[in-house]
Amino acid sequence: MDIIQTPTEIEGAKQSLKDIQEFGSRLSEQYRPTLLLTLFMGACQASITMGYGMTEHENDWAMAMVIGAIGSVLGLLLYTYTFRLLGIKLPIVPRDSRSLKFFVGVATASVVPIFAARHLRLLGLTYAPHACAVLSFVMVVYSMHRYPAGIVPAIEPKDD
Amino acid sequence: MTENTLNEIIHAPNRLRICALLSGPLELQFRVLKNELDVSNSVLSKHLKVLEHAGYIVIHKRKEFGGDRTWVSLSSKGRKAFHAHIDALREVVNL
Repeated sequence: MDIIQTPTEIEGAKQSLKDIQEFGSRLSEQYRPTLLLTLFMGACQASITMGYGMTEHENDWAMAMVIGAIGSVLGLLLYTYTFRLLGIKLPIVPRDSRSLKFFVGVATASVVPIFAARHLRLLGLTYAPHACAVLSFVMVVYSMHRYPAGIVPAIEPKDD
Repeated sequence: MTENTLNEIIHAPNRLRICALLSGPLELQFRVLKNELDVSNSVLSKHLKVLEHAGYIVIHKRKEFGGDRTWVSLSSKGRKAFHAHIDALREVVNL
């Protein structure tokens, strides 16, 4: 019989939830990418944002955008490979609503500054690409630090 | 599953921790689970067998990097059961 009907004691249930919270976030806490890789990925994203924001026909900023994109792909491959060597296969697609929210949030936060940088500059805000590049950098570094493996725990630590 | 029902298979402490660890990544290696739970190979194998028998996890053995590697992942049935179990626990403690 897989399912039991008897109610568990409240303390036992609390301990179980605490266990889920602790072990669910344990991988994120113990298996972080190196600081250098985190900064590199942040710099690549900032380079893409800045490059797209500043590109005028074929000036050097277009090159910065291309280099940033290549760096991001290489960084992502290294990131995935590093975790695989550690024995963790990262999720490619979200598998529950919490992960989906996380993926959509990260995708939006990655794309919006790129387009905002260009459009705000064309509207006359000269330093918009700089500000958006800093925003992109902070966003990537924060998300890689907070959710290093793209793993969203079933129960967030702050829920306790 | 009705409200306030706990899953007996998942509720055992080590199996609950295994499910919690597997709920995030796509797959985890046997050695990672062993290190995180701090249990022996035989104890971990026993728990994994129970979960596998219930259809909650999938175990793959592959040859990688010059050696045999055992990868464990949570099945969709296991994921649903795990989240239902969390909901049941929350109901018990009135969260």
